[in-house]
Amino acid sequence: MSHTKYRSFQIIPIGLFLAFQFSHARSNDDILAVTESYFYDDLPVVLSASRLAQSQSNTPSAMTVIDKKMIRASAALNLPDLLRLVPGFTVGFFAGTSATVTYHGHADEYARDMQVLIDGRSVYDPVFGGIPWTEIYLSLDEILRIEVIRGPNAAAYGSNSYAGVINIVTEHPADLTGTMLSVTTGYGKTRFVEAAHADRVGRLDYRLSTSYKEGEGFDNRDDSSRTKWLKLDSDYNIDLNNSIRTTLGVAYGNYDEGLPGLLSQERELDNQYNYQFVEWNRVLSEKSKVSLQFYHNYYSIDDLNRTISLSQQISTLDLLQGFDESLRADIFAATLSGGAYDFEAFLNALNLTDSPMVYSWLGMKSHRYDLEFEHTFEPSDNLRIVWGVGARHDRGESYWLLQQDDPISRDMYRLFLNAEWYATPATVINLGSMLEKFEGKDHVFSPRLGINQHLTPSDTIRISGSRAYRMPTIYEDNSHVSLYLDSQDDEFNTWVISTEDLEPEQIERIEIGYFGHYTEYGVNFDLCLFHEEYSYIIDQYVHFDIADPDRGITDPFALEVLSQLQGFYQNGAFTYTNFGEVEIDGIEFEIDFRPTNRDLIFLGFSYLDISGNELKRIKDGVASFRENAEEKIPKRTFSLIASHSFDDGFTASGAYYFTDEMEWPGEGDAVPNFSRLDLKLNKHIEFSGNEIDISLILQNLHNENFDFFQNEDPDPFNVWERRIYLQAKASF
Amino acid sequence: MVLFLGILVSAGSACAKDNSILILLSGNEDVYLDVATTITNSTIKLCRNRNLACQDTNFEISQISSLDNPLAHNYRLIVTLGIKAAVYAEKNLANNLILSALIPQNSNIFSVSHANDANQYYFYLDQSLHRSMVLISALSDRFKNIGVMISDTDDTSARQLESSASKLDLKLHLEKINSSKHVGTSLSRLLHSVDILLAVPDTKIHNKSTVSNILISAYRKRIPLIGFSSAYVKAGALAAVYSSPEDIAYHVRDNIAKIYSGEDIEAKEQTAKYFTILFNSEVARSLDFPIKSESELTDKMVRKSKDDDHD
Repeated sequence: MSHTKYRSFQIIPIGLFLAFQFSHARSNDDILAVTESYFYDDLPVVLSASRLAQSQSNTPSAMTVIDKKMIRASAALNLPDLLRLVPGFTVGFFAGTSATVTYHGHADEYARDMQVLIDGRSVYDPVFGGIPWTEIYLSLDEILRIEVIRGPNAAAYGSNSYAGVINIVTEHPADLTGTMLSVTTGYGKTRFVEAAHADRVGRLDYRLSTSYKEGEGFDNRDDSSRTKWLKLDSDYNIDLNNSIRTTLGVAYGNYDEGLPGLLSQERELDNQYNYQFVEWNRVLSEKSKVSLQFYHNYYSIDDLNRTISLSQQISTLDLLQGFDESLRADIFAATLSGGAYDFEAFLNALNLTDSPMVYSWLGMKSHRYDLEFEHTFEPSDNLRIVWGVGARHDRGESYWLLQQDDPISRDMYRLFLNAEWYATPATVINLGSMLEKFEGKDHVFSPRLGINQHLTPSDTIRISGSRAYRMPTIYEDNSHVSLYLDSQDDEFNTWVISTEDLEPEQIERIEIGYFGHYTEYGVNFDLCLFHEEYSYIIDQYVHFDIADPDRGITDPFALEVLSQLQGFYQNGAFTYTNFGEVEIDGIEFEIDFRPTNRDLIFLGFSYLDISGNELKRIKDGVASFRENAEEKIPKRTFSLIASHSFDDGFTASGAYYFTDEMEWPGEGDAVPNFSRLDLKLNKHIEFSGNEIDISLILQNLHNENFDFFQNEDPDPFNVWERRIYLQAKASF
Repeated sequence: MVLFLGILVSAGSACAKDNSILILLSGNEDVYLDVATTITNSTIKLCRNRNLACQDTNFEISQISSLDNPLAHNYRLIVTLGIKAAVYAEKNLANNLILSALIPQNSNIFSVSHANDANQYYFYLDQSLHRSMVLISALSDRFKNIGVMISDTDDTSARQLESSASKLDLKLHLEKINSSKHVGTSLSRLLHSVDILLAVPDTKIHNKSTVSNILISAYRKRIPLIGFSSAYVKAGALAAVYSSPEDIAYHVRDNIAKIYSGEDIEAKEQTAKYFTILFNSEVARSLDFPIKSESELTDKMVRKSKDDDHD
């Protein structure tokens, strides 16, 4: 009951083409008296075939659907936590509120392997890649359903629909009319307040919501956060066949970031995020509709660091602690130069000043503008086609990351076509194709073919194959991150620099799956066997042969001393290349069992057999590799959630999540397996049309877990402890 | 169709006799003609099979706007189709035996007329609410929580639904509505807690302005809706049990046969005897709901009804 092709077969446009018109319903007084014509007159065909979503049994890919009941049963308080339910998914919090979510691992803080769509709007960041999960915040109440397509699906969802796609469908404002207030408090001084009001004015349905959240994050670490959001979601019904959906949002976040250390110092980030989305839907006939959508995402991170001065840095070196502080800089200079320089001469010879270092790891601004036209039609009763064209303009701006004042932009044009063909009543063939041309890159073609054979109305076998690409991010293509001395005019040490014209990463996947749908017993079962091949993986590695800036020095001796000094910060530089290859053979299954309306059991499991390699470093022209792909991808994941509602409005639910040990790429560490037990108790009270929900939420009840980092110096941090929250929500 | 009606009317006027039956239509819409022609054909067939006098009866079909009133009094029986024809007959042809069909129960025609005193019988086109509830049971044992919106003044429907839910061991979630403005809010509340929605005929709740939104809202939540007409199913409801023109005609036919065989008509007011089921396969497929054949559902409903009778 979901739609794998957001382009054509999803429900959102259905909701849009006719916004709610309850407001235009006749009042009590002028309702027509009941006549026989009331029973025999025609009604407009609302759910015509071209507007209906594709059911899960007809989708060509493995898919997990997280619906409202699962969301309510879950003790999750944010979107990434919900995604732990999906087989093969790994979720890591690298700071209190900062998460990374990946399918089949092999992703750092900015998991670039998945496309995430909110009501058709891509929230993938074009500079770093990945998803700013905190800023794109969605209240769990406003999520209607999350459809997670496991496996590549660029043919339907476009580039970066690489390892998977998370398609989030939110509630229509007309379905949430009234006012909602919610307060959550608990672990880590969490204070979370949400307020929303939805109503209709004339032909306009709208929902205005605002939220504020603050918390201290993990213990033993300065990663507290303060974020506020304001959003407006509206749907204007022009007439029976035309509607305009508009969503606007803005978020401001202030985050404590970093760890004790010279170049990863603790600091505050100021983030801004805003978006504007507008979509016009027009129903041409029962078998044809078009839509035109435009959106813009803006994301900025204000992150600039100044260290202590060079001499102060030298004074803090462990090796010099036995010396008088006034002598340490001279001793250091003399040691490094074999007695040739004292500190002043050292500065002069190396063309340095005794200044702080200035740098930024994250400071940037990004824009994504996207325009798309789509046409869905049915040339015959057993064939549904959607095709469309789109254009995108991505832009990144950051002197500190890209070493240029001007923004770097990249345009992209795409043409797509998807077809759902009922070759026989029991055989569905899904054919998809996407042709994309990125500025400065060769065009890429992403095909997909799937055959679903319904053995019985309840049993379906599917076979599918697909290929998809992940374009390098603006950062991967253009990075130039350095330490600067005092100002951006004085580059001192290069940390990350792009040196190659990168190709897109490529994934090919074939899968055979079984989907069992036993309505009478309330059981859905999905089993999937697959083989995935990742190639041209964009590896970040250390290239020791990349020279740091020579600072205009020509004296060979001074250059050698400079090189040694620079080596204190980093030898060589990180850079990117297309090298790595990973193969995964896996089995995943999930069971969704709802014996009654009050009960829910969901179980997900994934087992992967992984092999692959990556480039580790190049030094003196010699490359070294490591065959350790299996270490960066958890071999097994398991999730279980169970819930029961009692007569008196009480609902009790529990969840258990397990992820095998793994090594987080990027800044992360090798962490032991992660297992988490959650409980939630909810009391629902209704009176006079008003509703109150009070929840006690207990997370990570049974043991402590390291998340993303495993560093015990001086104290362990990023450790999940037992977390207790109390939540109260009123709707009226 | 207009030509056909004209021929029949003129032919009927020329040969009207005491043994004739007049079928009086409220208008020229297809539904009246469909019912009228089916009554004619099926009655003659049934009467022949049973060797009743009505096998040789002349049927005259006329609209009220073109009725030759004096001649009307010569008919042995008048069948009216639709509210207008029923009211016309009650006012102008009260001396005749009148069977009034194709009438919605909520029209309240019976209570405002002098039907208790007149020789007029009413055959409602509405299916009983119990029948819709039985359809829900027949569709799936999983549908335990049934959501229904009704007018806050409609105590009759509330009682019928509660009684039916109790018989079928279903849980009823009733939202009582006093204004069309509250349909959206009530629907949102219902959709949180029910397995399926049942639409009950009520112009305040289900009308051309609201049906689209009710269907869309329910579909967004993946909650199927049971309609009360074929049009509702074609618009997007999962299924409906309703009275087709043939069902109405057969009900009238059965009563004509009773009259000609000297039997009494059972009641002044009768709910629909026959029913038709329409199932929307495309919606079912999209909801991953097993596609059911209409005949299978009909058989299941008949079996369930028999079980109810035995209970």
